[in-house]
Amino acid sequence: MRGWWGRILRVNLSSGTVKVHEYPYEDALNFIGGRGLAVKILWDEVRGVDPLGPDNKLIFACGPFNGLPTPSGGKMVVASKSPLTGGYGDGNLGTMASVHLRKAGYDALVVEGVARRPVYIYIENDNVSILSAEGLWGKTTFDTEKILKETHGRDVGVLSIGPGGENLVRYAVVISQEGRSGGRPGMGAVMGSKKLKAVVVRGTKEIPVADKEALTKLSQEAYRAILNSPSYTFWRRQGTMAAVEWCNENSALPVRNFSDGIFEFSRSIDGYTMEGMKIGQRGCPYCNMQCGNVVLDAEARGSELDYENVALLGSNLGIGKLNEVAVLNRLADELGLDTISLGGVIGFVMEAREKKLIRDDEAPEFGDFKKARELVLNIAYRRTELGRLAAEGVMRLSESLGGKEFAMHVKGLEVSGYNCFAYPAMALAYGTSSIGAHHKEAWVIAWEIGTAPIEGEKRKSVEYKVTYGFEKAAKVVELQRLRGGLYEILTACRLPWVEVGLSLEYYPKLLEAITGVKYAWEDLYKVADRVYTLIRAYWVREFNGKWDRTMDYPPIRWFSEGLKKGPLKGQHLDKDKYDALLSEYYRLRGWDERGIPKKETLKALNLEYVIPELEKQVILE
Amino acid sequence: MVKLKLHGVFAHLVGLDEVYVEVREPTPVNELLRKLIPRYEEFKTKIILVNGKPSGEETLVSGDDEIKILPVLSGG
Repeated sequence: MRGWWGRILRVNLSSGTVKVHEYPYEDALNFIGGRGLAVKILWDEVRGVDPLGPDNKLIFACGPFNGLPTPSGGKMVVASKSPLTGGYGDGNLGTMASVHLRKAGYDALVVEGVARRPVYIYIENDNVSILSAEGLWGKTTFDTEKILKETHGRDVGVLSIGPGGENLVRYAVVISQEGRSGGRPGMGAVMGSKKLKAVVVRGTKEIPVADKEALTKLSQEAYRAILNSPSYTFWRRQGTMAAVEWCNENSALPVRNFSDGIFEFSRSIDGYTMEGMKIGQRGCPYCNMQCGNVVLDAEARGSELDYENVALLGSNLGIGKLNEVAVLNRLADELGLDTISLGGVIGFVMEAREKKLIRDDEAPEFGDFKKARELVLNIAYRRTELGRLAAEGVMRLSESLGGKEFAMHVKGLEVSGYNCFAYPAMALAYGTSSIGAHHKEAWVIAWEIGTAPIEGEKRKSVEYKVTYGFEKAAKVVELQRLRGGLYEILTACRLPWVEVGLSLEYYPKLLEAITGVKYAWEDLYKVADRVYTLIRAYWVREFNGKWDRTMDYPPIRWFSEGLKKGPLKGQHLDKDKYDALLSEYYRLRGWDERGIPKKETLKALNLEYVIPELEKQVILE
Repeated sequence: MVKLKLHGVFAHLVGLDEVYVEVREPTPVNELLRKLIPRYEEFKTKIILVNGKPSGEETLVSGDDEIKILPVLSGG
């Protein structure tokens, strides 16, 4: 096997045992890596378990690109059954831990069981130790990483959780390098439930590569193409923060719990304002277009901003001062909370206060930075009644307080930074994303706004973005294959392609140079479809077959209310038309009208083994 | 005068975010943009709005039309 090690490291914290599991070459070929490997392990081994109990497994999965010089290929996927949604959960983060895990000789690390006392795992090539983390428990992710690097040297990769994960906040994440975070649907809480404070990895082996010369040549070419892109300099100035202005222009910014799409103070939280506050730039390994913009926050600490943080913790909370937004963002990173869900939760609390569903004086009103700051701490430490409730996420908050009509989530995962009153395809992307309302898999909104193929009279007569043509469903599937498929299984960052226009053709070529396996585009799409369909099957199984198409609906608010101002004032989604679009999506995927994969689809994707298990719960078409 | 509003990378490349151009006869929008924006041809995708409506590169502009050009982003 070249490119893959074919080895998964398994650490059981209940028994204190360490094993190396050699997995079949066929699995490598069929699932490639990253989320592909992760969902295969979850399907095979994690059935019907309590996500925060000892039988859930926490998976850190790499792909063939990792540990090798590939464009922005320093990522890894962290996955488990989600305590927030009850279904499949994952996220990716860029970290030296990815590089070191691969150089230590593994494609993935699977953590099983629960430790009796807080521990961390230390991996140095073939030597694996489970060490006491009693002295680290309670510390922030920043302090934890600093202490572990003082102990083990700087040349290691560190993944850790903060108080949020320790206290089982359902949207706690795993953090690395002071701001790189992954696992929105509560992978940090799963890590906390296992009493696992951190993973420290050092690897020094050489990864076997099929054609080293070709890899070097292709990578150099790709890195050069990125540097020469006309978008590069501006990207280095603002990174994803350019999206604040962009979304505001298109009425797509989340404002005050997604009640509107244009923010009156957008200028003071946008990329231009950020440029004036910038004190540094950080990024992931093997990346030459680093996007982490570090600014000085209102408490004189460094905070790494990107669009999602600012949209959800800024305009969504009605907070128009970037240095205050930066405080909330930095606290979330230190405490190990997902900034998107945190912004969704606080936005919900603010609106609940406004609508008098909460009378508690502790609840902040829109724009109240001080109380929002206090609430962040109360959530992470679960230390007041409101803090404990809010630590459960928007779906559960709305079940206990009321307010389902403004609960912004899909399948329990809070909506990320795109407001979809006027964007049916983007709403479909959120509805059908494989982890809940996340944008990473099909960020179709830009295509929907202005690059969709519309010609002649149609262009003049209709605002294309608010139409429901079936080509929109096809575009969502296409993007899910690339972004949710290719990039999440390699595992690499999609930004070189989308932001600076790196040709997609590099990816199969790089994959061939690394593994020696030639994948045509149709092969890669088939892998992506296999992974997507297995993830869907996993959801259906973990919900005991209680599954119907309403699971793929976007939040009610986008149907029942309209935009309050701007050129698209009054615009909202249409339920029947959305349903028709969803049916077309299912047809393209080979899933039935409930959103459950059909038998013939499972067979065509070599997922026959899924059929008997699903048939115990549902009748398959 | 035709008003051009530039966003993101296009404002960066031009060094301005708003430009006014005298257009005597109806002209395809990409002709104006090509003259104005360095390395314009290298952008395979972009969002062009003419008077608020999504438009193609061949859309004719003149008089007091307002053109807005935005990059295609990936979204965090």
